[in-house]
Amino acid sequence: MLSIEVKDAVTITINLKMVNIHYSREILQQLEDVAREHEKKIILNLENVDSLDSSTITMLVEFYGYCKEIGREFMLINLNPFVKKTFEMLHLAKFFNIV
Amino acid sequence: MKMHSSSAMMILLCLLLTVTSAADARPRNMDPPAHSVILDKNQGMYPLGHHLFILEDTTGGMTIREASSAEEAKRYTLSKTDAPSFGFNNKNYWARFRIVSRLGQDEQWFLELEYPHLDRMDVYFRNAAGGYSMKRSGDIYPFDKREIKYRNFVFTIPVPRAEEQTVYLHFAGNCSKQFPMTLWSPKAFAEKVVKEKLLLGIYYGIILVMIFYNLFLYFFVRDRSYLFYVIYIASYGLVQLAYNGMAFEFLWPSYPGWHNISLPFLIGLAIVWMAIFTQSFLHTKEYTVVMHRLLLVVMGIGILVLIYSLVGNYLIAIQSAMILMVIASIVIISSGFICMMRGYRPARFFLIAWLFFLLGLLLIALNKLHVLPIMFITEYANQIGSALEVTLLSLALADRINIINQEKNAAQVAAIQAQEKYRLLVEGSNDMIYSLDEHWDFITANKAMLSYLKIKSESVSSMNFFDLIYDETSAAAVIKTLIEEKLKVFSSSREPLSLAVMFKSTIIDEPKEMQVRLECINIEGKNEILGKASGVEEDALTQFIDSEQQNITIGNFLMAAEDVSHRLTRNLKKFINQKQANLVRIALREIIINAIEHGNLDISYREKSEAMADDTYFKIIAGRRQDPRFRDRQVYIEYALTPMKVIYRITDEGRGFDHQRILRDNSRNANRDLLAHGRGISMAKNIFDIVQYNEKGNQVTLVKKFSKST
Repeated sequence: MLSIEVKDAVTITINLKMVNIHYSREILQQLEDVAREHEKKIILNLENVDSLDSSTITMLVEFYGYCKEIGREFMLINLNPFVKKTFEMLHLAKFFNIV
Repeated sequence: MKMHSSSAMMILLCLLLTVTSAADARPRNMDPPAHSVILDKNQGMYPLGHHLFILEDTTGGMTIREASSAEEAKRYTLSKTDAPSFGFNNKNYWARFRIVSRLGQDEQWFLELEYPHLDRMDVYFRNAAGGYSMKRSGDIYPFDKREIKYRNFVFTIPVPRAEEQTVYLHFAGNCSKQFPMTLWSPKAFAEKVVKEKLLLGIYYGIILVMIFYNLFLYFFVRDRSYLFYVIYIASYGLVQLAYNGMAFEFLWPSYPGWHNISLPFLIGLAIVWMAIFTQSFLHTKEYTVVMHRLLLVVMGIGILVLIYSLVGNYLIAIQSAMILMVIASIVIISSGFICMMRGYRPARFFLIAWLFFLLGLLLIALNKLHVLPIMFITEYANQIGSALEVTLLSLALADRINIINQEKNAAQVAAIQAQEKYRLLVEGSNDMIYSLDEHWDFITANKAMLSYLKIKSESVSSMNFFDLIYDETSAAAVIKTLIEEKLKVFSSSREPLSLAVMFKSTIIDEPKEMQVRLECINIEGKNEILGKASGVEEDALTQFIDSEQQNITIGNFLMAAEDVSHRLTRNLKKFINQKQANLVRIALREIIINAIEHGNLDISYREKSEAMADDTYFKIIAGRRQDPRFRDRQVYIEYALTPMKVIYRITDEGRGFDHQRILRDNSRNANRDLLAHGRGISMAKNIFDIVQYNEKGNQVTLVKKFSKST
């Protein structure tokens, strides 16, 4: 479901086309484990994700909060236009650090 | 003209014979008669072909006394060839030649008959008592009875100092009557034997090396052509050994009976294996059926020859073997040529090998016809030709293996590429693709399937297809039974099957409807079932729809929200773009889930947030669904599509909720407060033109208007 590459930063790639409530809790758990383990910047790569639902957005918001709590920088990369649009609709495009 | 010259020759011969018969009494200082062999100390070898006078013994019982009499002397005729030959027959022949010694001392010389298959040969020469001493040899006698233990028949002849004598020879038996004879000085004979052993040693060494090398290769590569080649050259080597008398000398010296019939037997055997090897090497069955059948005929005749040689007449057996050898050579070379012309690359070396063999025979023939002189290459043309043949055939085999390996490697690369392409297609598919054994246990599953089952690939074999079919409710259990019946019919009919199946979810105990297609396949002799499961198929009628209306009722299953939202948005593509349609689908799904969660199952935002944090969300959903207060509640969805807009009305049976507050609060607040809820309605508000709740808060109407720009 996730592939993790640790260099200067930790890059986590979600290998799912559609992320919804059935996966979001498990993903959150793994993201928190990785953030706890590595004291590095966390980059979430969404290049494989075609669409996501509100529970996934909630999961990302929660993870953002967690990163803030333990002092990790969190960044989203490679969002497709559809996913980007979802973020924009929910006023999250500026909330997250999206590259 | 021919008759005249023959008569003249006869007269001349008679005169000569008269002189010769009285020669023993002639004074020493007189000139020797014509055609005498005059032994000189400067020459060690005297071919006797043109010195022999030959007489056919028509009675078959002529004695030395009669053969050496003056009367019979007239009937002898002088040989005109190097190797007098009378073909295969059972006649008796007498021959004589005269030796005149100018050696200056008494010596013993060697008389050699270079044909080891003569049945019986007697040599008569004058003894001190004035009579004739006789020495006998032949291939009907055990080898160790020979005076000189050599592959050919060799006799010692006493040559008294400065004397003349006539030596008489008697040939008998049921065999080829050919008399290639040579008189050798002891030194010259020893030199000849040493040279010959060296060359024949090299020749048989090559044959042996080829046998062991190719036998080793056979065990290594397991290509039967190698085995056939080894047997062929082993039997061919035996033919050569038998033909030049070495087999009798070294392999079966005590079995003259076998030696006498071994040659046609071994020729038959070699031809059979030669044909088998040719078929196997050239793949004649694929490239030339006609030659394949001809080779079968050659094989059949070869077997008859070798059987006949054991029980039948030797003369017929050896003549049949010789004729068959010629026919087999023509058939084999033609096969090689045809296969080469039809594009079988290894046939090139095969053909070259056989051409070398034929070249050897051609050189011998040219030598016999006096076109070419006697020299090393003509003397050993047979051995040189056949050694080159077996070596080139071995190279041909290596070349063939190389070509096979190249083809195999290319096929492997293609197979790997095809496999990789297939893997990418299967692994990259959003559909679940899997294979099952005959007991419906999973063998393989692609990424989509593993992701759905939430298992690792190594655990897939522990899953059974029937375990995945949803049967939690009594209605579903009945459907599952019906599906099982269908699958049983599929197992026996093995006809491809498509059906809709409700699958269990591995995350929550909710069904998910999927279109399943099953096909029976056979992989490496094992029956397997190839399966594909995908979402509800797109409606082919979409392009023709202008308007439609549906009312759908669903239970409290989150998966149903996914399926229904997909079904109710799939026809939007005719009016809005795909991206917009996807956004509508996600927003609709959010609202339906809200109706289930917060409406029918009465889960508050706070409860949801806490459950999400505790990771007990799905447990709460499942618990509420079983709760008697909520379990009969349903969600009603009304849907209307027109060219102008799409309308959804979702009604739950809950007590309603404070939608005013949610509609008032925007997602910014949820983001700011890092809330775990409240974004579904925000998404709907962004996507739909109208999001309107009823007073009670258990019904929401969503309207999306279509404009030309969308």
